[in-house]
Amino acid sequence: MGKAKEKGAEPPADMPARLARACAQLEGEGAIKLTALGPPVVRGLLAAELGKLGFELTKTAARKPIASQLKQSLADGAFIALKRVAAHVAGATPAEAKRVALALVADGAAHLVLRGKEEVLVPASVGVLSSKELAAFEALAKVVAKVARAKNGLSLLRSDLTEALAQALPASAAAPVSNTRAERMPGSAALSSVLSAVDATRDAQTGLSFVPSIVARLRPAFSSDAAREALLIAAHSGLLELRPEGGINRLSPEELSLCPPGPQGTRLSWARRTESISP
Amino acid sequence: MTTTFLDSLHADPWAEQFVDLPSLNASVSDAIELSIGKVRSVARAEPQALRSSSLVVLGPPGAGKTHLFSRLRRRLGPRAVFVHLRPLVHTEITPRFVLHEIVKQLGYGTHGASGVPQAHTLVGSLLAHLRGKGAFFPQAFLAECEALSDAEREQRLDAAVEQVLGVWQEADESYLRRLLQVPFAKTAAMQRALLAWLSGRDCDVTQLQRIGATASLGEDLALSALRTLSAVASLGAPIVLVFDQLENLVDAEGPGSRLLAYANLTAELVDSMRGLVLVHMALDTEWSRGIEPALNLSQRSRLLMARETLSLPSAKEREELLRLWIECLPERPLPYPWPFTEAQAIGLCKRPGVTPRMLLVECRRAFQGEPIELDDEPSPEPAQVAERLALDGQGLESEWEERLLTARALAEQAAERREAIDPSRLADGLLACGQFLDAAQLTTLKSKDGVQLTLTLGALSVRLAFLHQAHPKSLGSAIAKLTSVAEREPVVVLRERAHDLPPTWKDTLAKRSALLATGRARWIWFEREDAERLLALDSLLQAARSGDLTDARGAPISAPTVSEWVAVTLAIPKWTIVRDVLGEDEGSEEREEEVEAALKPVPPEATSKGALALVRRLRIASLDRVVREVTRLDPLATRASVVAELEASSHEVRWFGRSIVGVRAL
Repeated sequence: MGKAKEKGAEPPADMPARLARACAQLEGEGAIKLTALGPPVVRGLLAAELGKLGFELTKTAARKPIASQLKQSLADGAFIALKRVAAHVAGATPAEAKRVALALVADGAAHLVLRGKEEVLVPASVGVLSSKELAAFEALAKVVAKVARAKNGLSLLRSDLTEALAQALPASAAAPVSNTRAERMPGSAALSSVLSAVDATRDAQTGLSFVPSIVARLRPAFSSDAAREALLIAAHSGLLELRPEGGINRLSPEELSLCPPGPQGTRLSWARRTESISP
Repeated sequence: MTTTFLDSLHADPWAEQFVDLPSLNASVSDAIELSIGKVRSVARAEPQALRSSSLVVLGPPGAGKTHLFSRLRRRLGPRAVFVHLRPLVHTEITPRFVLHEIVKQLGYGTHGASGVPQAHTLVGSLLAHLRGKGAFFPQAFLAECEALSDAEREQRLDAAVEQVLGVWQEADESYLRRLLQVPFAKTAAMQRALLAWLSGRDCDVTQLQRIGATASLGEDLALSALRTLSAVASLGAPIVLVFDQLENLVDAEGPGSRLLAYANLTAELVDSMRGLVLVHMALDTEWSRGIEPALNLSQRSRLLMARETLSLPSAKEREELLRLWIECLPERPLPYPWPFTEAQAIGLCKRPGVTPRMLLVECRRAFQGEPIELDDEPSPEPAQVAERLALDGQGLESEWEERLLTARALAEQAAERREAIDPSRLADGLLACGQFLDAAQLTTLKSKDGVQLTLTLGALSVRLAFLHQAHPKSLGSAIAKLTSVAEREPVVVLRERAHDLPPTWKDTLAKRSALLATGRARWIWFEREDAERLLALDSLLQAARSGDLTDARGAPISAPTVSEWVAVTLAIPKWTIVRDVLGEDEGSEEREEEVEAALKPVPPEATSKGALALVRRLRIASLDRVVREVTRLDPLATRASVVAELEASSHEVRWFGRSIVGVRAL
């Protein structure tokens, strides 16, 4: 036995391989139980090596830093409810995860916004109202609340409110930033609307739907830009085939503006449901 | 495999080099193949019930419509005869034009049969079937027939004619007999004569003598000839007649007479032909917005028996296409996705709206080390407009050169066969020129007196006619008809100078003199180069309407840009034939040659020595022959340059009239 213990005190020959495996697992899964690192004789050594590599160690597990895990999720476009933030990281308690999330907000690495009744952590790249804009809205809300409470039929001019909203939310801020996956990907309801519009405008003979007609049908629920964007996303997802215009000056300037740009300066003026999902 | 396929952005229906992804739009190929198979089986089982079929194939530019033709040609080989036809852009399509195109393409090679003409395939399959043999090895059966003695073969062909007439009494016997003789013609000249007669061309005296005919096939027999041809082919190798680029039939103002004529003709082909497989190909937008709404119910029911819309390649198919093309590239330093990066390849495969042609363009760019175009271009920035115009210009110059080369090859082929260039295409080209003339207007005219076009110059209206006839009698007859027209209104007659009237055609020359004596007729000899320009212009404008022209980077060029480039660059009002037609160079032939010499580049020194050297070698020859041989060796040489050179060597060259030259020692 004593001989065996002596042997076990020496690091086994496959340490580098074990370390590489552990790193790969941590990168992929975010956390790994210490017991899964290997036999007890190597755990201590491996854990120490992982610590040197920047991984966090708890009593029972090694993990990627929680801040890194959260930043990665946000970079992928995730919107994370603060209540459930622990579900988005591995190897952390809810309290730990929430604390790190708030630290990210404090550092400006993420925003915390209220959506409905829920506080949600969103990427820093998403457009949110600044404190100045919030203050402007608060003032406006007070006016609206006062008018709404009045018993003498008091109201507001639509044009005044529109003007006040425009002042509170300038056009550049109003434009949605759509550079994250979450914003680019329309919800299933939106996608369903797009596909329904494609079906409704389909030419029974050719099986093609004219894109300006689809965009027109999606109004007012979708702005022209949103409809075009949704069509492109549906095409990227393989649900639709968008086809370049082949006609000879058949589109009016307005129709052209409704068609998403295609490759080599073309306009994508026709859409067709791909066969796999066609009814 | 070389990299030339990367330059073939526009599918050549007859190209030898071919890269295909069979799974892409396989359903469309299958639908056409099914129609061919059905026609053949009905022809054999129930010949009296045999009808023609018609199918419409639609797709955006670059989706692979013409590629589909090449694919089917390769896939079916000798099991069908393929005819690819682009409609006339400005003049109406006629049964004679269709017959001419079909028979012309019967002379093209059958794929997979070592260049055996399709005419041989057609006859071989027919004869094999009639003898109860397999129809898919026509060449083997023809070889067997060739081994027979002349008398035995005649007997066999007679029996075949009787068998066909027994099935379809309406078949034209004399047409059928000459068709069956094509593979067994003793000489190439006889085969050319047979095909010329079968195509409805005007044959010259020698050709008629060779095939034992007294006259060419009349225009009134074109439909009957088509009927015979389509029916007999259906027993072995059915004729697949593909009308491509039909968007060219639609005028900017809406459906015109050309579209109506096309619809009527094709409806008649469906009604009265047996065993023809008609395929109509067009841009999807133009068909659904311009062509189909203009068809009446009767025409629709005949043309639109089936409709297929080409799909764009899916992401997976795009990757397969890229792999296929890249595998064809020689000396690849890295595996797929080279010459793309991984991200570029994924981007290209996923991006919406990419056609196979666009993909090929990007592949070519990447292979040539140019940046590929992954970003959309909704509208060019002002700073990019100049660059874009420069690219368009470069692209159009090379497209124009390419089309000129093709036209030159066509003209040379016609010259070798001693045939005139197709007058319908020339008239079409001249009408295309009309778009770029300010004061003059050219319109097409339907008439039985040989007049094809009307030229309107202010209040003056002039009739134009291309005379292509090769036989003195038919030419004389055409001139006589024009003489009666000239008694009422001015006439301009155009004829290729290579088809000069020999002094022995006394009667025809007298008729020509009578025509010119009316004082209202002008006779214009035009050069082969003039004809080549007309053909090239026609082809360029047709491709522009079909979205088939691309700039130096491979991006499509719009039709208005092409028109603008043509107007600015080609200076059509200065073309010799245009000036002649407008009467801007009225005067003697000498003056005409002076103008030509001024407008054309000076021929190289080597050319100017060629004519004299040839005359020295031949001792005596006709001027036509000298011109023909010199221009064959040097495309820059013209008749005018040859004449000028010979006249400059008067100490050595002696003229016998204006048609024969010899060396002085004679």
